[in-house]
Amino acid sequence: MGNRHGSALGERLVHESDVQKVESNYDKSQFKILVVDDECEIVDILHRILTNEGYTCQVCTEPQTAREWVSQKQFDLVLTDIQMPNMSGLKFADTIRRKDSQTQLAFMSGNKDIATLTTALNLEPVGFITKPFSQEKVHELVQRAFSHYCTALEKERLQKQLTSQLSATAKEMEFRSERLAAEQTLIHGIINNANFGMIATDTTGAVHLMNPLVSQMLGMPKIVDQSYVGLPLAQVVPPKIIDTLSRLMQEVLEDKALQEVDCIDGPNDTMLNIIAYPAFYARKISAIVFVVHDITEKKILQKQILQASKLASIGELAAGVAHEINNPLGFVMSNCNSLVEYLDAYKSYISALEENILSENCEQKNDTAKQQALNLRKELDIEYITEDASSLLEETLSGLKRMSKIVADLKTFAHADRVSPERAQVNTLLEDSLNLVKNQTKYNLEIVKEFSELPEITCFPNQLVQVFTNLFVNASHAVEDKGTLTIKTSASERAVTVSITDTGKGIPEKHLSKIFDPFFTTKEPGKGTGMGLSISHSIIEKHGGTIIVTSEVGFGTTFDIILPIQGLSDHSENKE
Amino acid sequence: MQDYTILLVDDEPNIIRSLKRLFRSERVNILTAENGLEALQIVKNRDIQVLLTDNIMPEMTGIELMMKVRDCSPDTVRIILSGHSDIDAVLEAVNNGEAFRFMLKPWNDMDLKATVSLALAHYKLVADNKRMLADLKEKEALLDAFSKEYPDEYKNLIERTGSGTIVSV
Repeated sequence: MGNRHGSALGERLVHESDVQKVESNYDKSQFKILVVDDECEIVDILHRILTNEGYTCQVCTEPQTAREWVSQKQFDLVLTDIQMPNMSGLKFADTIRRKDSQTQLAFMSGNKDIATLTTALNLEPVGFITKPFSQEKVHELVQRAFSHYCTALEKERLQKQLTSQLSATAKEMEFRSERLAAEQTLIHGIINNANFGMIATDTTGAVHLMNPLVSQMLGMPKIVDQSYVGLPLAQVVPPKIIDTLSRLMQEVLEDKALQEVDCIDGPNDTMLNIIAYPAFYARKISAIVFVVHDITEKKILQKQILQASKLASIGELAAGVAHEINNPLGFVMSNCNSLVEYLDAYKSYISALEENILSENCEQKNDTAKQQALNLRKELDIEYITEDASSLLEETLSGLKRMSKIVADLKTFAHADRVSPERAQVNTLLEDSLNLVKNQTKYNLEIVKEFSELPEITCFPNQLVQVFTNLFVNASHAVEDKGTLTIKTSASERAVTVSITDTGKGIPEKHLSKIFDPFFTTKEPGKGTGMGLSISHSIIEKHGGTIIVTSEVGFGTTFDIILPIQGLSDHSENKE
Repeated sequence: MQDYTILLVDDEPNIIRSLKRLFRSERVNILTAENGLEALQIVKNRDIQVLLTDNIMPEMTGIELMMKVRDCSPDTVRIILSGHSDIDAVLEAVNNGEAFRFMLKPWNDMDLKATVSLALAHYKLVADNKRMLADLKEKEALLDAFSKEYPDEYKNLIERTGSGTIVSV
C-alpha cells in the first residue's frame, strides 16, 4: 500500500513540476489582473502585492468604471469585492462571465452568507478569499489563476502545434498514399504486361496476385476481377498443374531457396518452365512467387539446333572420314584392276600351255613348246604376277577391313538419338573417339593417355563420343603446329572425371565465358560452326554432369568433364 | 618410254604398291617415297619427269613438296593425288604449286594412266620446245657471226629469200 501511495505522490510531484515548468515558459507581466474594490486601502495593498510579484495589475474602485474597462480590454484575472456601492461584485462578475469565459474570476468578501457564496460559485471563480485576507492567501489565489492561465495558453499552443502537425501528417499521408497508388499501378502494369506468367501466394498457398498471361499459359479462364485473391491455389489453377506447383512450393518452404522445373503440364501439353522463389519479409518467407515461361518453342528450336549441329559435326567428320576412306578405296580399286590384268595374263599363259600339251605333235615339238612357254612366261611376267598376287590380295583385304571399320564407327555416330541409355566404360568411349578423329589428330597431336580403372556409367555412349571427338578436334585446331593431348580419367565413388588437356594456344579470358554459347566461334569462316562446345555442354548437362574449362593463353586448355555414375535417369530421357 | 621416270609419293605404302602395279605395264621407271623430304632428295639427284604425290602427309604436304620441286626442278610435271577434295587445297595446288592436274582418290586407273601419259607428253613438248629454242639460238648466233664476217654474201642471201627469215644455213 505504502508503495502505491508513494508512487501516486511521485506522479503528483512530477505533475506539479511539469506545471511549474509550463509556468516558467510564460511571463508574469503578461498576466493582466484587474482588482476592483471600493476600499482604496485594499486596492492599494493588492496592487502593491501583485506588482511586486511581477504581475501587471490595474485597480479600480468603481465597478461601473471597471465594467467599461473590461469591455474595452482583455484581463486574465478579475479580482473583485462582492459588496460594493452602486453595483454588486457578483453582478459585475456576471457581466464579465457573459462576455467571455476566458477571463478568470476571483472574489473577496467579508460576508460569508450561503446565498452569496452559492451565487459566486455558479460563476466558476478561480478562488474566493475572505476578508480580512492574508498576503499568503492572495498569493495562492493569484498563483493558481496564473497557473490556470498558463495551462490554458499551453493547451492552446499545444493544440495549435498538434493541429499543424496533424495537417502536415495528413498531407504526408496523402502524398504517400498517392505515391503508393502510383507504385502499385506501376507494379501491376509491369506484372500484367510481363512476358512471363506470374502467381504469388502466401505460405499457405492462398493466391495473392496473378497476371493475365499466367492464366493463358496454364489454360485457366480469363481473369476478370480480383476474385481469385485469397482462394487456395488448387481452386485457381487447373488440376493438371497443381501437383507440380504444390511440390515446388513445398521445396521452396523447405529449402528457403529458388526451385526450378520444366514440365509439360501446360494446356495442349505445352512445355513450361516454372521458377518458384520465396519472397522474404522480416527474414521470414512472406510469399511464394511462381514465374512461368512457355518454353515449347525454345525446346523445339533447341532440338533443331541440336540436329543442325549434329549434321554440321557430321559434315566436319565426313571431310575427315572421306580422306580416310578414299585412300583404301583408291588402292583397293586399283589393285582389283591389276588383279584382272594378272588373271588375263594367267589365262593366256594357261591356254597357251594347254594348247601345247593337248596338241597331237607335242612330243616331237617338246623343246620348241618348252621354249615358247618360257618366252610367254617371261613376256607375261608370270613370275612377278605370281609373287605379287598374294600381297595384292592381302593389301586389298586390309583396305576393305579399314573401310568397314570406318563405316561401323560412322553408324554408331549416326544413330546417336535412337538408342536408350546404356552402361558404358568411359575409357572405351575415349578410345573410340580417338579412332574416329585419328585422321585429324595424327599429324599434330601426340596423344598421352593416363587412364584409371573406371566403373561403367549409365549414359548415351554415342553422345559422349560426340563430345570427346569435338574436344579432340578442337585441341587439334588449337595446337597449330605440334602439341600434346593428355587424356586423364579418374573415378570417385559417385562420379567419373575426364580431363582433356592440350598444349595449344589457349583461350583468352574474355572468350572463356562465351565458349559454350551456341554459334560462338573464333575459327575462320567455314572451319567451325560454333555449335560444337554448346552441344557438348548440353550433352554433359543432360547426363547430369559438369564441364569446366580452364585455360591459359599460350600454354593450353583443359576441359574437365565430371559424369555421375548414375547420372542419367531413364525418366528424364524418355521424354526427349 | 623407258627413259622416263615417275616419282610416286604417298605416306600410305599400300597406295604406292597399287600404283606401282598400275604402271607396271607402262615402260617407265618408277621411284617411290613415303614423305616429302625423301621425295625432294630423289628429285635433286635424279631426272624426274612426273611427280605424282599425295597431299596430306606428315612433315610436308604434297603442295609444299610441289613448290619446292618447282624451284629445284621446274621441268618436272607435278600431279596431286589427294583423298581430300577441299577447294582450298585445289586452288593452292594450282596457284602455288603450279600443278599440272589435281586428281582425287579413289582414282580411275584409266584416267590416272591417261593423265600421267599426258603429263609425260607435256614434259616432252616442253623439253622439245626448249631444245629447239636452244638450237634456234645457236643457229641465230652462227648467222650473226656469218653476217658480220661476210656482209655482202649475207645481204645477197637475204635478198634472194625475199624475207628476213632464215631457218637454216
